[in-house]
Amino acid sequence: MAAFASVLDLIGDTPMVDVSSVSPSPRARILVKLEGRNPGGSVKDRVALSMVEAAEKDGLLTPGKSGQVLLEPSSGNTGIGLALVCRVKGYKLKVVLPTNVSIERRQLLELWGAEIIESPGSEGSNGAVRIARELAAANPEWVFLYQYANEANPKAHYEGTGPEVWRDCPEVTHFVAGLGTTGTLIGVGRFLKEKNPDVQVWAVEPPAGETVDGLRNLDDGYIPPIFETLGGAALLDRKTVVRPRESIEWTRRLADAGLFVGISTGAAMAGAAKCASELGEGEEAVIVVVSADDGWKYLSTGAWTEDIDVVAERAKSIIYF
Amino acid sequence: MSVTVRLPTLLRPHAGGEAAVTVAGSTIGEVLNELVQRYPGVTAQVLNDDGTLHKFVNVYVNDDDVRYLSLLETPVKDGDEVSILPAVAGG
Amino acid sequence: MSTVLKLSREIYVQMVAHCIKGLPDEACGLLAGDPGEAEVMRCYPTRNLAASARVYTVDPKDHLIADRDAERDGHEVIGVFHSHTHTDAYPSQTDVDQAPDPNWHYVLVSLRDTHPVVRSYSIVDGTIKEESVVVLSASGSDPQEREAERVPV
Repeated sequence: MAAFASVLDLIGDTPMVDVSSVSPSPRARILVKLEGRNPGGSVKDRVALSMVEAAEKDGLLTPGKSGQVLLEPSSGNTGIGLALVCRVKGYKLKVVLPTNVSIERRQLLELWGAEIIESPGSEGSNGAVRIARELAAANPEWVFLYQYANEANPKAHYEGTGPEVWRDCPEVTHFVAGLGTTGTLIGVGRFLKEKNPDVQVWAVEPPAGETVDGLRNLDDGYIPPIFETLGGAALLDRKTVVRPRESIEWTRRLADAGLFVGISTGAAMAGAAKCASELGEGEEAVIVVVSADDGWKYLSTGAWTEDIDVVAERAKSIIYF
Repeated sequence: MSVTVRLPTLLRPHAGGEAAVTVAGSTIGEVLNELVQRYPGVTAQVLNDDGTLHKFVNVYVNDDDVRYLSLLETPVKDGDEVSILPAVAGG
Repeated sequence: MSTVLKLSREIYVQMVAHCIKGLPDEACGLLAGDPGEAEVMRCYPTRNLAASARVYTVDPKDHLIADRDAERDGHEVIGVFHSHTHTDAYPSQTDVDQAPDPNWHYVLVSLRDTHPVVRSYSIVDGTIKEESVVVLSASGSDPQEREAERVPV
């Protein structure tokens, strides 16, 4: 391992690990890409850095100049990634955050100096988006990166995550990730399909009207602009619905395999399991799953230790991502 | 001497779809050998390569498991009912 | 098209009760129905010869009795149920390795949490595939989807 000049240089180049021991099919190999290894603890570090660097390139932000304010709606990981990047680069960050996110998230944002603006928990991430847009309109001098519409988001995955998957696992047949801003799916999906058009891209989403950690249902009324402008619909081969309970079950099964990962990874893994058990006779698959983050931020939710009915019920009212 | 051998569903396709067949023999070993000669398709699931009883199969003479009798040496008499069933186990 | 395993309220209760009675060990039993139909008509609780909280072996003697009884009624054994005392209702590697019949339904009863969780799977050539479990109401008509966790694809 090399010595790195900056924490920001630690972003990306994450490892992949084989979890085929919990695959529902002997013909499906399943690999998990551990984005929790990023310095801010999630896949969103890539997005945060990519968006800030793009803004610097466009002249929206000037490195070293004082008093520059960034605004972002985030129920967690993007805010945390931005807080880290802004702290290192010297920008001021305001994060619009639903009231019902886990306590660890708030603490991480605060320790890197972000200011938290609360949005109603009942409105989930859509509520945070709404308030952030109002604030952005009222304060035009603030830089509103807006991950849902920012092409630097999928670009981070097209230029980083995707090539890494291809480098480490060129035999990939299926790529499975959660549907959040849709940045991971669009960026990695597009890269992999350019390399091999036969690669299947699967999106995992929560049931309409329910919140499952990190994920959104596109039928819930908000379709991220990047999904539309970059032809996300044409890229997806399959969307599969995963319920909170399944997500927690697979999060626990991954723990049995030695992996301590966040609940959205359980959801993505449930999608991969579905994919594995639907293989045709004699068909073989190599499924790559993105683990958005590690389990640390979810310990307070009791996801591994408490009664699953209690945890699954709670997952409906707390945003875990 | 001939006995009736009841077959599990899994083996029936290898025995012309029959649920039960009549086989000659004076011990379980003889009965099973006769069975696998007539229906080679059932061999792999009943006997090991060395001719011993497969671990995942249970064989009964009337009401008794041959593992508690004399395994393949267990004698049978005319009109006995021999049943073969899969061993059902897991974790 | 995924399979739907149907069973009556009575059989559901019988199965779960047998699993609870078996604690702290795993419990097991056989399920019988009409050949080719995914509907459980009879439940045969059996002894767990392994007498273990980690593994089970259906007592061969009980299996023979169940098999004969089912045959007498024109049924046949179409599946097996067993409990997981501390893990979820999902087949373990051992369950997959020892699955005796690709046509059977493998029903798992998890007693890990407050409420028992009942799920059914097919296991073919090592591949696990979940089936829906439907508990029929007392009248036998009007089937109700019981497993709220079931996911439409």
